[in-house]
Amino acid sequence: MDKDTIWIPVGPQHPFLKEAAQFDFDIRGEEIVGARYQLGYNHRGMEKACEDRNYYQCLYLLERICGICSHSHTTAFSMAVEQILNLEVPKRGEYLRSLVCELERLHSHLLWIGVAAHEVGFDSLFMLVWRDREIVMELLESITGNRVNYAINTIGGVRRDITDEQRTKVLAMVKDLEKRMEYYAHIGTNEPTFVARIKGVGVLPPEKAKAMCSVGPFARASGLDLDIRRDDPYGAYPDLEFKVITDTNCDILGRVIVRVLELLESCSMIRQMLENLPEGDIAVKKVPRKVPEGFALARYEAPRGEDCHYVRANGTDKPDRVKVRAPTMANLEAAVESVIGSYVADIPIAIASIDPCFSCTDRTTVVLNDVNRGRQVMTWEDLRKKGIEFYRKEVGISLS
Amino acid sequence: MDVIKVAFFVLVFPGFLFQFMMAAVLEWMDRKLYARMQNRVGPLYTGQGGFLQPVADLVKLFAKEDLTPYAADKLMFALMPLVSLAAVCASGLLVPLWVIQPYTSFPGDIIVDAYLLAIPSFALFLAGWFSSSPFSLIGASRVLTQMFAYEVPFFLALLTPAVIAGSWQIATIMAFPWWEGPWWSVLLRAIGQTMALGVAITCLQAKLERVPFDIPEAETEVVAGPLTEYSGKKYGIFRLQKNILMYTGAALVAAVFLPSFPMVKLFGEFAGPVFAGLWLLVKTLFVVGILSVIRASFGRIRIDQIVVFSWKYLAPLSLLQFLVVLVLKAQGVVHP
Amino acid sequence: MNIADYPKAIQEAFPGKEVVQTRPRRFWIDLQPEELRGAVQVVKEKFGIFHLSTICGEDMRDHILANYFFGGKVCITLRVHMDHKNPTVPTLADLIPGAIPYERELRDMFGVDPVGNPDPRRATLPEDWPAGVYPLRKDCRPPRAGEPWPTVEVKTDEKA
Repeated sequence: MDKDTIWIPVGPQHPFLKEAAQFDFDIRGEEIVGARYQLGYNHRGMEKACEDRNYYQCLYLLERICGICSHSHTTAFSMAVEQILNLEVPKRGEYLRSLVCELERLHSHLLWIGVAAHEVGFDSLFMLVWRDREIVMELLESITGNRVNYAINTIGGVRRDITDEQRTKVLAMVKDLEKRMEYYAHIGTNEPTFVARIKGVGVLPPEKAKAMCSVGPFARASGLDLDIRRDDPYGAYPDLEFKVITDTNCDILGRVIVRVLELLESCSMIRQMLENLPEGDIAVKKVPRKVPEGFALARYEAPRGEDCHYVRANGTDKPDRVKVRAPTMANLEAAVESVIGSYVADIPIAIASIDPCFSCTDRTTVVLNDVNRGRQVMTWEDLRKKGIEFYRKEVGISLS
Repeated sequence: MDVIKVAFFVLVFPGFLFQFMMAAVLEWMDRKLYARMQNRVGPLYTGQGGFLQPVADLVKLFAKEDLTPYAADKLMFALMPLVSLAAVCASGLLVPLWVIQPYTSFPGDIIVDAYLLAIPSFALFLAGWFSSSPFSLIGASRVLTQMFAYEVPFFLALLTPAVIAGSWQIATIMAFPWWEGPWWSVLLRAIGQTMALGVAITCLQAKLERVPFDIPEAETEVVAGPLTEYSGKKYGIFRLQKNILMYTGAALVAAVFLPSFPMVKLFGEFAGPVFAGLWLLVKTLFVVGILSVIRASFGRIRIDQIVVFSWKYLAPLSLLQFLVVLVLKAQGVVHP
Repeated sequence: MNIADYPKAIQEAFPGKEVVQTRPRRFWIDLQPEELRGAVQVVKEKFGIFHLSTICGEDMRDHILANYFFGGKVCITLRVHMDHKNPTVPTLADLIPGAIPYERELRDMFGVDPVGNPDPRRATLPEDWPAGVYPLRKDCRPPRAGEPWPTVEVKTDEKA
């Protein structure tokens, strides 16, 4: 590294990061010439923890992988287990699951647009979009009982039904939201200061997106036509009519366009689902507690991309292996590479354009006792003593 | 007696205490307007309608721990907030609220005012430089780059009313009878002044480092730019300085660009100056309102885009209207 | 190609291998490590599936299994069986650059060595994690409530 290149660490704590991750950038002046990332700060060992819990406890645990896409993880896990058990979820249950799925997509994309506006300093758009996101949260709360971590999935279907008044309320509010989303689509593509920050930034050519196996709106903005809802249909999607939005811009403007248009598509899908909601049961009545030996792969189109869950059962009531691959992991390498060549000022918006959810991505561990470095775990007393000692030696004040 | 009078002017009115009060009022107004434009409420609980929120923030900051980084130059690190505060308060004395010749009004004071207003940016740059942390260094270099972008149009814009009035003294510029003369002369002068007003307000927004020009202190990118390592009292002083700078800069722009009336002639010897001061305060509030609207309407643009924008549009525009006014003056059109 | 044509096409593309089909769109093929790269070429060229969803390792107690999930209209999973002593697998980094993070995770969690992977850093575990301890293997168990943590004599390279 020559003299002109300085290395700035962004993270693990940084105002633009909603979760902890480490990015290292080599910059020359204001231009980025090298980038690396390091994850693991939010790793909670969920896959290992799942091996000690029965399937319903796993469902509870996997919900808490992430707050924004919690429904994705539970749905994908339920789908995998239902594949092993060969259960067929009743139609009404599938529709309700997909309804919550689309509402979650609404709230996640609105969150992202607000956060992207905040990253470029456009706080007015941030406040307005999040005001509308509150409407979606209210709808989710009325249907499922909670604003995040909905806990509406169970193996074999859903746990709660919706009443007719909830149905009319959702339809009315979604119609309201559609008008506002068209306004945001207009701002997102026409506001000069916003577009100046996102046009031509974070460019990822389609061949690179293909080679790095990117997923979700990030890949669709580079022209790749991948959508699990159409390619590998599940839930209510075989019955619905929707467009898969792709864009050829390959930069952050493209990702904004894709997500905003997907918002409008989601609204139309919600309307279709609610108007054609079939009658019947919402879940399979008797689900066996012990799952016979088998394995299954479930793929789900989360708001951020493709969410894969692989489950292997061994005949007991606890799974043998649960593998969760969240969409952010697939996109991160490509995102970090797309930043090279842009300016330092573009780092937050370029990394944020994949809609990162590091909670989904990590799954950490801590070294407790090391021969060379001594105890790494300190009790409160140890920490206090160490702090007093530090201030006495370095700063010269006594805090005891 | 003289000493007491001077102490009163410097410390109470139109000096430090009054500037501090105006800074608090203007920050409250700015935050409330910004919030209402975003469909929010803004400060609400401290005092009636959140009026005391800026004061509460300052008191809180003064009570926090004040850390100096290990590798920073201790003297300069501590000195920069005070230097910038001193410069801004000195320029605040030159605001023609209460014209006290020869203390606060003298020929050439518009130039002195403009120079004093440039010192806080330098102090910010030095503050970032002497903090010796990578984020502060990046922020400091951005402060300087931004200075190169807006200082020239700002000075040029400020000179236009001076040329029209034929004087370098703010009080005389304010007292210029803009309503006299043939209607087309008034119209031409108004057009020139309005163009200069637009440039001056944009450059004022850049000097204050507010959106869309707040790249040096961009929260999402370089933590807090040059002020990253500042906390407690020093940070409180920087924030106070920024608010007083808003008051001074807005008052300067309001005084020289927006129309004033001959208050002494209208209201008499005693009430005239009082009304003149009040009218200037009203104009200042108007300018700050415009600054708030600008802040709420745009996103932040990058440093290279700021420089390009300023040298492609602001500087040529300010040059153009300055040349137009010079030509008009040479033709004898400007002076009635 | 129709979904119904896939089973036959896949069996023809992998002669002599056992192809398990659990669902209309799920195919599972068992391989040995040295056959992996050839199989990946076949999946890419013959079926046009370029998207590697993920690589999932499993500890089957008597051997280690690595699942390579390729997702397109159908999901073709290549399952590579390795033994515990020296699990290695050839890297896919030149064929599919997006496989690099997943191979690193496989190395961290299971101790499977992706031969030729250009990135030697750890994926999710911290740098001072002791070598030779693979969290997702079945013999690495977190303690039950009340039990002490298993002590492993660890020695890292640098002093703090």
